[in-house]
Formats: sequence, C-alpha cells, structure tokens
Amino acid sequence: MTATAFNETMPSTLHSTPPTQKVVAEQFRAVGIALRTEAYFFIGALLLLGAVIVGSTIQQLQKQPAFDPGFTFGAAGAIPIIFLALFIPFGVWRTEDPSRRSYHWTMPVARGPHTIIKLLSGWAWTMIASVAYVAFILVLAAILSGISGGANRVARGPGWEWVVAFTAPTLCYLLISVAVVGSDHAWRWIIGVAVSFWILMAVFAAFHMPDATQLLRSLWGGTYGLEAALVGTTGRYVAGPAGAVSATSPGSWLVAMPFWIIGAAIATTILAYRHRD
Amino acid sequence: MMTALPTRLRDGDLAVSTSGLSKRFGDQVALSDVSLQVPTGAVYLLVGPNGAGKSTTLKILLDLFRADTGTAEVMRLDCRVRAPEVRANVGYVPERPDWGYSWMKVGRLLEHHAVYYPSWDTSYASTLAKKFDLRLDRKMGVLSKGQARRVQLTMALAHRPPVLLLDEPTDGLDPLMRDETLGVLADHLAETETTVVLSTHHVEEVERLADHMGVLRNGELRAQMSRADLDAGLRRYSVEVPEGWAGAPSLKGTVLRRVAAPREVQWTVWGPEKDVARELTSAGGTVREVVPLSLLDATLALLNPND
Repeated sequence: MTATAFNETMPSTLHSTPPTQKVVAEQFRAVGIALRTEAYFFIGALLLLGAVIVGSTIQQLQKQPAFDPGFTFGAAGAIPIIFLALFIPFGVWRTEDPSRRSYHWTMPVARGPHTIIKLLSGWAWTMIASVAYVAFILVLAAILSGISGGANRVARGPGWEWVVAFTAPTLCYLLISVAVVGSDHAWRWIIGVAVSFWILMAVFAAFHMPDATQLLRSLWGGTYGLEAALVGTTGRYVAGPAGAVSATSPGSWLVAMPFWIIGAAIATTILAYRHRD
Repeated sequence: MMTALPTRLRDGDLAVSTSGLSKRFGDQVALSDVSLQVPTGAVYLLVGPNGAGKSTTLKILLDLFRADTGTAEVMRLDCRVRAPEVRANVGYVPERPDWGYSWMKVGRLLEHHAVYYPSWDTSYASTLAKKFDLRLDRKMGVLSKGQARRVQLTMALAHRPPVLLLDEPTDGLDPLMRDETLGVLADHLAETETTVVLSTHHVEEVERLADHMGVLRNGELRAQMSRADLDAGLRRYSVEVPEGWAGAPSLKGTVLRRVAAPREVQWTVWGPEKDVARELTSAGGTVREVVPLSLLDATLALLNPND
C-alpha cells in the first residue's frame, strides 16, 4: 500500500488499535481474576489433601514407628490437576458463552486472534496450576520423608510421568474449550458425548457387534486412545504387588498425546475463528 | 402533488455509511437494502419500533453481525475487512445492560477497557465516573440496569472516539440521571469532535441534540434527512373542512398522519408548505394553522403504520 493510498483511506484523526503484547498481558491478568474461584477451590483441596496424608502418616507412625509412607508419583497422580483443567475453560469464559460474548467481540482486536489470546491465557494459568501441583507433590514428599525418616522416592519414577502433569491438563483444557468456545450449552455437549458413548457401547454389545464395540472402546482405552493420551494407560492390566494395576505405556503416550493435543487445538482454533452473529 | 420522503442525504463527508445493507435471521427480514448516511459531526437519530433493525444495523457496523448483502463503512473503513480499526474508533453502548464482565469490579473493568484503547483519557474517565456516581468497588453483575448503563457510557466516552454508537443509552436511567447523562453527552460533543448514531425510544430527550434522522420500519429505511429538511418539509396543517369533505386526493402518499375533529382535520403532510396549503385549499378546506413538528411528533408521524 502506498502512502498516498493510505492517506486516501485513513482519516488522520483515526485512533489506533492496541499493541498485541498489551492485549496479551491484560488478558492474562483478566483471566487470572476470572479464575480466582477455581484457584481458591484448588488450593483449599490441595491443603486438605496434604493435611489428610500428613495426618494419616503421623497416625501410622504412632502405631508403627518403622512405617515408610513410600510416597511416589506416577502418571495417574496427575488426575487432580486433570480434574481442575475440566473446570478452567468455564472460568476463562465465565458469563461469556457465545451468545453473550459481545463485550469480548467489541474490543478493537480481530475476533479470532483475540479468542486465541484468551484461550492461551487460560492455558498459561493451567500450566501455573500444574507447576503449583508438582511443587505441592515435591513438598509433600519431603515432609513425609522428614517425619518418617524414610527415603524420599518421589523423584525416582520415569521422567515422562512428570511431563504428564502438564500434557494431561493441557489436553483436558483444550477438549473442554472446544465445547465452551463453540457452544452456549457446553455441559450439554460434554455430558451428551459421554452418554452417547456409553449408549452406543451398550447398543453394540446388545446387537453382538464386537468390531464396532472394539472400535468405540479404542477411542477411550485403545493403544492411542484418550486414556493413553492423558496418562499413558491403554486399558491393559498387569500384576502389581497389591493386585492388578493399569499398565502404562510411554510409547503409546508419546504418540497419542501430541495427536490428541494437536487435534483439540485445531478444533478450538477453527471455532475461535468462526464468525457467529 | 407527490413528494416522496427522502432516503438519501445530499453529498458530503460521511463518518458512517451503509450501502444496500440486507440481513435475514432465518425467515425474518431484519434489514432490507438499508443505505444509511451519517455526515461527519452529525448527531444522527435512528428511530423505529422494536424489531425495526436499529440494533442490527449498529451491530453490523461493529462486525458483531454480518450482513447478507451490502457494505458498511465507519470513518471510511470497511466494517467487515477492517473491523478492529473500526472498533478502535467507536464508542459503543449496547442495548443489553449485561455487556462487560459481570464478575469484574467496575474500577478493574475500566482499567481493562483502557488497555484496549490507546487513546483512553484517564482523567476524563475519572471525571465521568464522578459525574455518573460510579461505585468502582462493586462488581458489574450486581449493578442495576441504570448503574450498568452509566459504566457503559463511561467506557464509550472516555477514549474520545470519533464515532459513538449508542443503542438506547438512557434506557434504565432514572429521570435525574437521564438528564445528567444527556448533559454529559452534550458537553462531550462540545469538547470532542464526534459523530453520533443514536437509537432511542425516548425521542423527546434528544430534541436539542439530534441534527439528522433516519427512520427504520420493518427493516427498511423509510426516511433519512437532516433536521433542517425535516423542519422545513414536515408540517401539521389544521384545516377547517365542510360537511362531508372528501379530502385532498392530490396529497395521497404525502399524508403521514390525520387526526379528525368536528369540522376540523389535522393533517401531517410531507412537502413544500405552499404547495400543500394550495392543494388543501383547492380541495375545499380552509387552512387555519400550519405548525412545525417537534421531533417526537415528527417521529410518530414518520412511523405511522397506517400510511
């Protein structure tokens, strides 16, 4: 565009749009305020959990002075943070389902990128929560080791299982965001998909359709199913010291996790750029 | 004699313009071929009954809605292609009072809004907050409709935008605050070069502010003119008529309102006064009085569904 053409189309009195970095910083702050309720709930739940674990360990130590809590961390240990990530998208878009999102859309920023900035802000807070959760686990392990005098074994597990504490909430956040960004009735969609899944499973079983049942089951518990993408388990069980435990497969996780995260990110981006009246 | 209501203004610099704007929601026609012309610096009153398409028009200007056909421009910027720039230059007060984050405190919401508008005038925002008696420590969600409206007005005015789009800006305000708000708006227009598109049902309130008018009915732009043209072209004629008077057939199509009393008929007619008076006289009536109309009466006449 030449300077002349610019002058012809842009009156000199026009106001400018805000710098992107300011919008990003402000959205991060604003989403932080929006997520206060979830944050208080999560902090409260962690403190309560920590108090229960420490309290029961102390009780056990009074009964058995040689008691070793044996506190370790596995991929399944990410479940509390996954649970939190289920609710974060609702906090990010609090009172802003698509039909009431006009305040967000009247800001002087392109709608698609603005929605993405808000989604990324929510994700950044999710990751902060994950860091806080991992720190909580490490502190709890140190406390338990300190009061029991046993070895601190929490960091001895495979490294990828710690990464799960970040990838699993990311995937969960993105999947729920698809519903929250795209629909006025996110809960209906989430519950509807889950209920439909189980109804279809029952129907396929009733009509003796093992292939269809297997296909559907693999979506959740297959080698590259959602469960594998979240915590690396694939529906197989192996014998453990206290009975059968769900087998984890870092190979399945390594393939399924990016596949599901990229898929959810693409779906969220498409919905973020969709123009809704 | 037949003078159609004008739907195009004379050429001039336009701050807001639409061309052939049409929009449907399912089977319902919201707008049909609407070509709005809002001159720079004008206070343009957009009137129409509920569902006439006023809010839809404003939302298309902000790219909240997208027209099926036609184009819209604000400050010569295409509303669809350059929507963020358009919104940077617009102060908007929506019809809905729940606009803005209900979970955020008023003071924080103003700070949030300020980040998005580099032209935000902090001291002016504080002045407005005092004038509107805003309680900055309260959450938006607990405010009354009137209180929320005052916050929205502060958000719209404090960045001193070249264009204001005000959708029922005094809706929900008590009479005292309504008066205060109109005073603030008048002061704002005196201090800041601003074009205003104003949609309101309280037409009488903006009698002194509005200098242009557009009339929407059933999604169609029925009339569009300056106040000077409105005052000159639309008059009420009190006519003494003989028993069994048949009316003035030559005025068909220009009569907007007719109120009958014994032996006297009041006709609100669009057209040159001399021509109308001559037609009435030649039809047997005696013109007793010709008066210009207030903005409210003009609106009622122009919106008369019986015409």
